[in-house]
Amino acid sequence: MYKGTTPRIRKVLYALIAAFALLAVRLIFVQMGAAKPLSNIASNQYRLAVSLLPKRGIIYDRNRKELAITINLTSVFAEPFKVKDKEFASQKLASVLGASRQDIYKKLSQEKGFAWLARKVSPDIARAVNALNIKGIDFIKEPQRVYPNGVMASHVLGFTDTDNNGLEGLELRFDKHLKGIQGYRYAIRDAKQREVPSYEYKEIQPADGDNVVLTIDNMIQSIAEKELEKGYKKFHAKGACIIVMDPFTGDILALANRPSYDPNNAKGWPADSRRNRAICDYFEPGSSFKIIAASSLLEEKAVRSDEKFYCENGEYRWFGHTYHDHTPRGWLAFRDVIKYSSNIGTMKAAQKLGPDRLYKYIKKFGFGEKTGIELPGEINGVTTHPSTWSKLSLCSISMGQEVTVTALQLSRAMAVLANGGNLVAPRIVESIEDRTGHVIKKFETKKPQRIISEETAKEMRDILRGVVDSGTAELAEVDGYFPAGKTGTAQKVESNGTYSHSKFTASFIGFVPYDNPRLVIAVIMDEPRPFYYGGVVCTPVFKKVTAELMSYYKIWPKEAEKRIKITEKSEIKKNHR
Amino acid sequence: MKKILGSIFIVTFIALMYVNQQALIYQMGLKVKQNNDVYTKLIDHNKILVYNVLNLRSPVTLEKRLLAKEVELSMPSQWQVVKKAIHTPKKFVFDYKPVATKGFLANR
Repeated sequence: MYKGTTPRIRKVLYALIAAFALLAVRLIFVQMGAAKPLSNIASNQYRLAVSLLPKRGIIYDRNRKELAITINLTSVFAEPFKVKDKEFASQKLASVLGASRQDIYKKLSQEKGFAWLARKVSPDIARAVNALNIKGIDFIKEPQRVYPNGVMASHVLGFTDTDNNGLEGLELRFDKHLKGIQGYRYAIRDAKQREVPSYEYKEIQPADGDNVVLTIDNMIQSIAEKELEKGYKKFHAKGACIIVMDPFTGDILALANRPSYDPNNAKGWPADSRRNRAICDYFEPGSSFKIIAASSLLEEKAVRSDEKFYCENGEYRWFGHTYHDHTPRGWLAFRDVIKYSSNIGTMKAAQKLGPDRLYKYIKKFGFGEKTGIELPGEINGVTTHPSTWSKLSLCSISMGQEVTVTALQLSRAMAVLANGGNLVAPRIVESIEDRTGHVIKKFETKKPQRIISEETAKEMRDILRGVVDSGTAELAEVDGYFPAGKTGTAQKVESNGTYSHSKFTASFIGFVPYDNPRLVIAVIMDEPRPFYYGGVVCTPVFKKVTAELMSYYKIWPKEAEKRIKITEKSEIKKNHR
Repeated sequence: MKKILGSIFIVTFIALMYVNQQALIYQMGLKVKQNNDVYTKLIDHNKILVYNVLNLRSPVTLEKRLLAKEVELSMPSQWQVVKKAIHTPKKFVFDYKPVATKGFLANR
């Protein structure tokens, strides 16, 4: 073998064979063991995955008017290693972006490849930054959730964070539907990390978010908010809320709270303003809860509406506790007990019912449990079992103490009387649709449950009409529309467990017109001042909202209707002549 | 020798064509990207304008502006509404008269 070769050449040959053998071993090792990670490293160097952000779904009102939409805004970022004169750049950028020079300098001096300078700036600011023409400063488009109506319906809609995640309200509850699914475009990048446009090799299209259609009516919401704001400011209340509801379907047509906030800049408002008081706060309802005791008494035929009760001239002692009426009265028929909101009359009547039957109706009316509305954060309220009641509990509960409710639960209870005795499930979302308008999920109106008879409901409507006609809610009267309802003024509980003499929750829950109810409207005010009676504080709000809504629905006042009929008749007669 | 030169020429020509084609693809991609950028920009601008219109049409904004000018609007009452009769062309009415007045086919 290798005759004629010198030993030196042979050594070189052996060395080469050994080297190739080592290379072969290394090759096997690379191919068998490290091929995948190495391939990944290589592809990461030349491949580029561009995120394709989905469009967040639109939130519409019941008439398909946009309540929340998404627009694209420009965000400014820096690639610090590319910025040469950091001092100059930070000075110029600070003046345009309205940020501190030190902060920007700090960001530009980082040992990072990327740093946000400002997110979602206005188009004018973006243009101004672009005009500076600083190398290493670049832009990216980001979707921004915007609410064209500002504060209107903010507690219903909620808001999103910078990355478009729902944080409150329906934005949070339906985040999964609204958000959509992110897509990607895989492309190739050059040595300078720039995308090579013609070498895109895979694209996964983003799936845009679904649209949510609400039962809210933009116009009704606006009217309700306007009047609530006036009442809230006039009576210097700590908080207030209003609910407008269709008593037959349970559709929420308007829901507003005060204080409120602008979801376009939710961070700029205190957390307390963002609370949806109508479903997240409970309170002792006071006299407005008498509708439950009265309905159950009439339904169980424990009393007749003309049955008389002695109201002890405004002061009554029961098991060592003295109860008072705000106006002393003697004998009153049961309907007048409710009309004048006599505590003594109600508690005497409630004795005829007993704890178990009262509790049964409290539960039937849906108190102590969530209504199931699609808004997040709803609470149950507190209703205790009769086995835990004291000797005073029956009296206290019948007049709305020792029990806590939400504004929505009270509205639903009033809807039972308005619709003829059926408990409805409140609904604020009508449907979820995809981008093409195809309905993905329909939130059907749940089948109402009959809890009191039609006769009892009618009798209660007549009694509650008396409350507005000549009782405690005369200020709620709207000529020609005949509203009905019940006032409530509840003392708040102090931190030491006693009832306050300076802090009250005022309420008025009513419906209109009383003989053919179309709407239930609940107005609640927390700690109004200097007046605190529900009949003084909440009824004017109810009255104004009712008057405007009746015109909105083109329901004309009955007196006017009569006048017009008379005029038409006389015109016909004239024509005949 | 001629064969070698010929094949070198063909290979060079194909290579040049390939490079030219790649350059054209790259240019086309760039143009598509530029057009796409313009399109996206216009869409974004349109969305901002839509938002501005919605904002201006919002009852909250309108109310604020009217209140600033001390104009308070309220819903009209019935006497303020004038109903105007709209003239509609007379519809064609099919004057049906039963052919048979007696017997099985008669219009009962």
